[in-house]
Amino acid sequence: MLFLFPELILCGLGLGATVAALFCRGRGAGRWALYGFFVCLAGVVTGLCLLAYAIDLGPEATGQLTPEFIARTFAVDPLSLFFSTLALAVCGLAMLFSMEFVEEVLEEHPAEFLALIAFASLGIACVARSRDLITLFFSLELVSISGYLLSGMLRREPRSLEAALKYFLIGAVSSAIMLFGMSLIYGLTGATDLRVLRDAVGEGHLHAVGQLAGVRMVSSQDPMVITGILCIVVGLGFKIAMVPFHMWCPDVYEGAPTPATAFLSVGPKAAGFVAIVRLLMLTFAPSSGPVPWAQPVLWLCALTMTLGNVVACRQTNLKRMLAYSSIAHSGYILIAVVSLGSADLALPAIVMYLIAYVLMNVGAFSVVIALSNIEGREDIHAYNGLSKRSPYLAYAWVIFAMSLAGVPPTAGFLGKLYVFMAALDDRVRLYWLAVVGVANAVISVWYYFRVARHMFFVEGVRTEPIRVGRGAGWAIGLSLAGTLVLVPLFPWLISFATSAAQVLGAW
Amino acid sequence: MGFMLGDILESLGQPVGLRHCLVFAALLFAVGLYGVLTRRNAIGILMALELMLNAVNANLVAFWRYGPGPREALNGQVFAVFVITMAAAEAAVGLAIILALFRLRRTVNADEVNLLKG
Amino acid sequence: MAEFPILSALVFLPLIGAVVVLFIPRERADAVKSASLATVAASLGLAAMAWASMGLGTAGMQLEEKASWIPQIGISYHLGVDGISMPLVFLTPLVTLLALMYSWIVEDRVKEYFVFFLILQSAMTGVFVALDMFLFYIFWEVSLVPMYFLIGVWGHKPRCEYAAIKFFLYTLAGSVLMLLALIACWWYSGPTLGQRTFDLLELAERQPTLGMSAAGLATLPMLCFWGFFIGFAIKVPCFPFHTWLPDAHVEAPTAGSVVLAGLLLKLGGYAMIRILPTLFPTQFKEAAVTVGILALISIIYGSLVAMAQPNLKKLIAYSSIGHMGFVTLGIASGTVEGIQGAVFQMFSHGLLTSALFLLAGILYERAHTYEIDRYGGLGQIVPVYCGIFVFIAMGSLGLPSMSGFVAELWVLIGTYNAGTGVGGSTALLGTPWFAYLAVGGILLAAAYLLWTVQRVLMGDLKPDWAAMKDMTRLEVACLAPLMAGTLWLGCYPGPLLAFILPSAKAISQWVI
Repeated sequence: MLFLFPELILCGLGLGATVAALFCRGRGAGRWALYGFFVCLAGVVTGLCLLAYAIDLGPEATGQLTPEFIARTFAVDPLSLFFSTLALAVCGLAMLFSMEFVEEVLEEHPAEFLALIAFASLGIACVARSRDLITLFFSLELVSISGYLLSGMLRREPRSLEAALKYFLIGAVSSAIMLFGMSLIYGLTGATDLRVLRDAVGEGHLHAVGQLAGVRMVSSQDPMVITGILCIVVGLGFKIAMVPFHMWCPDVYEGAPTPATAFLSVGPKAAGFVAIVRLLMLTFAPSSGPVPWAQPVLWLCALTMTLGNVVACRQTNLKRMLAYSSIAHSGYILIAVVSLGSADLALPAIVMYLIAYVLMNVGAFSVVIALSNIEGREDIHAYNGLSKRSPYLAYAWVIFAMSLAGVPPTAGFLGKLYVFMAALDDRVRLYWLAVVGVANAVISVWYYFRVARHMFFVEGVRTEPIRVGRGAGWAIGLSLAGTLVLVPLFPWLISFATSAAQVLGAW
Repeated sequence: MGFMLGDILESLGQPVGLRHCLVFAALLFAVGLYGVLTRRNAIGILMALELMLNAVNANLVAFWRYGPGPREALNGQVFAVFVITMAAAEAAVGLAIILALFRLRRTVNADEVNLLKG
Repeated sequence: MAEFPILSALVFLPLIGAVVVLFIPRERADAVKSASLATVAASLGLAAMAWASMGLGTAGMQLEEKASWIPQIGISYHLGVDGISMPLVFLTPLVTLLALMYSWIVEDRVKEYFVFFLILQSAMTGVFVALDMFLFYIFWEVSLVPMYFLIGVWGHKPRCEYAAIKFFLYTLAGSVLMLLALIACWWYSGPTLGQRTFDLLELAERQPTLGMSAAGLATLPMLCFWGFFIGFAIKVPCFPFHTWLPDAHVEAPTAGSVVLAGLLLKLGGYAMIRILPTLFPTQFKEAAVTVGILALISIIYGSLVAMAQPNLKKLIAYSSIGHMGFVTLGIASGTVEGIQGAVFQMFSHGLLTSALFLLAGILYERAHTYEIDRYGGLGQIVPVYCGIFVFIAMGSLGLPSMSGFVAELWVLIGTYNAGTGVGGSTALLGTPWFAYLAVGGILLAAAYLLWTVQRVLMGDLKPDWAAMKDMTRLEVACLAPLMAGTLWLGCYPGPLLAFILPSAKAISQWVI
């Protein structure tokens, strides 16, 4: 049970906030958010210690410390422990940056907002843990359903409700498609345990049921297997906003309340990628022969990056721009996903990119939140002359922009470096994809620094200084520290990411 | 190709078995998907969605029933029960959102919900 | 070898200074300026000490510092200098110091301005001393951001915004290509993750291009070569990658142009010498003629376009393209003299072009225009300015006894040798015509510089400028060291050439 610590904390936090919702209104909710943050902080610290302990122990010993009935559906390897600690960190940061929002903007149900964030984070953590199709799907669903509600929290705001409706309809359809794929896979193998699935798909030991259903050839190249896997790819593609399943993303991000957007841009996306790692890279990747999903994902990956970045250049609403930017970032991470032949680099690259992505995206959104708490809008012209009104916000944006664009010495650079290392692997040789990737990095500089242009080069109409709220200010500070400190800590990070990936190789 | 249309049609003449269930589920899923894509009323979309989920349930239960050892491994049934629960939760959340939107805009037509563009 | 990590100190002292300056209250502008100047002066002193402590006649790296940093993927913290980098390491604080002295007149957002310069100095020094490619790349990229803001915030509105982002995107595009080529080289430098290396010296020993060929990738080495070359050529800038430069230079504030032309361009030239011949000897030989042609076009084209410019700053910018063309040409020749000349030219151009941009800035400060045609006859009222301008113009056009002459002569000798095979070198370029045509470039430089002197300083005085003041003591103090350096290196180039020689020989051996 020890190693399920982050999940227990998140669960307790969600239930606690639900109870607290009975009592608190307005300002009280801000205090609850702060408490929630401190609980998460303590949890993250403990989680990291546990992680070090788990890596030290090795996977077998860690597994033995966990009761059998849990270990059958919940993995307790270092990688999953890491991802649940990351979920805890996301939850803590989200509590911080939504502090002013629940205090001042959200008139009704402020504590429910916090509870939903905690439950969604619990979902992310459980996705990382799942070693069973059923657990995996329902953890993903926990994230999604909390997300629908989060984006519709402003009940009197038509745009917020519209975002919620779109998110809900598209999310539900994608879940249904993914479920259909899962039912096919279950039918052909007779199992929902991911390890059994891996052996079945990877080595062609399809269950007798498969033959009953009229499948003559039993292999990963079988049309029914491919249909199942592709249905799952489509479902996951919706979750991570992969082109052409990205249409919902800009609308939802723009319409949802800004703190909810900030959370949605990191939380469900991280969950989607963790599910991709578990399902596509570790389960449906036969050790010999072609990988059934690799070719389509390869092309969609290039499209995702390019479309995200090119369309982002045209946006004038910052939330919409960051939505397209997050689509583009999905594309970059997908490079590592399709480079799965690079055994010692692909998984660490995803781990590293996700850490960097969480930090820089939370940071960039916190800047947007801080300003929208005061100005009430996210239009790019609201940022005119910001460097004089609040140098802290402006320079923080510059650092986050550098990181998002992959300019050193920031965490985002490390993520990109690793992703490209995986793509240029001799066993992968995706040279053209790497070139598309770096070309996109250059394009992205244009729009990230267009905001910096408005902050620094353009004189604003309003000149009075801005008082950055406590919660958003702290969230910015923490992500700023994280973004910059990861470079000196790089060796530690690599050791960790690599050892986690090695453990998984034996999974 | 494992599946040939002729094969399938021919086997449908035999006593009811896994194939019938699978074809039924696939058709149900297709109907649901068609409904989701063409309905303009949000409630209608929600109903079509339920069809898709029920197709999945039919699949799961059929695979479980015709698989070997249906008494030992209950995975399919358990999965189906979970899916039913989830469908209920989704319907609740979806209806709540649609209701709130209806109060505000006096419409449940998905085409008229178009403030966010670009 | 010194116990004190003097190179680390050189790299990080300005950064520490920048942090200190950040904590000085915004209102105390003078304290900000003095603290920044003191930091740069201290690093200049350190650079001089470092140079003095180096042994003459050693080809290898000196004052090396090496510490394990990220052993998992073969990255170490490795610094060192040799005859090629030391002059540039010294040039960096020197030019920055003069630029900042001149910036004493800046009044807008003083603190940020000086902090950006300090960060910039740190990054540039880092590029010159880094011997690990990962470290090198980090410093290389970090130098972009401060320059972006210097151009955009303190440049000439409104076109500076366009120039700033153009500069950023252009150079970034080059460096990401370099990053890919770098990763490819890293990949083929060893069989497993931990055995691969980003260390420049080890990469040179292991020759990853051989590994690429062995893996059946015949075109990859050449692609990597061009990836690196384009990254550097954009920085130099070499035709046809030069179009960002005129915009950036014209729109940047004076001190920004000084650092941009005097130092940032040198990063490209330095990297070409350091990396191309050692990592890609075979590809270098194959591509030498192409590179030489590009360099030649830069020289002729830069000078011709400079001649047609009505804008003084743009003229100087294009003259930089021409002069940096000599650096590229010297490197392309692959000969000892060519490389020696290239380093010498970088040092000399750092002095001369800084002076030219300062002179243009001083004029702009008084008249608020760069249009050459609006000036005339200034010699009558500002004699000191006139004298200095003529002096620097003479240096720039390569008058014997000035540093530019020595540099260009050495490059021409190297190019001629590489064309004919005289002096025991391989005829990489194949024809002496490269040298002949480059001489034409020098003639063109003389033409446009003399013509400019004539249009600005000679002739009838335009009535607008009758009240123009001559140079202040601060301005003279900024220019005097540059003039002294030019003259000294022109009359007595021996020590510097001798200092560069062993390292140039070591580099040249890779390709000859």
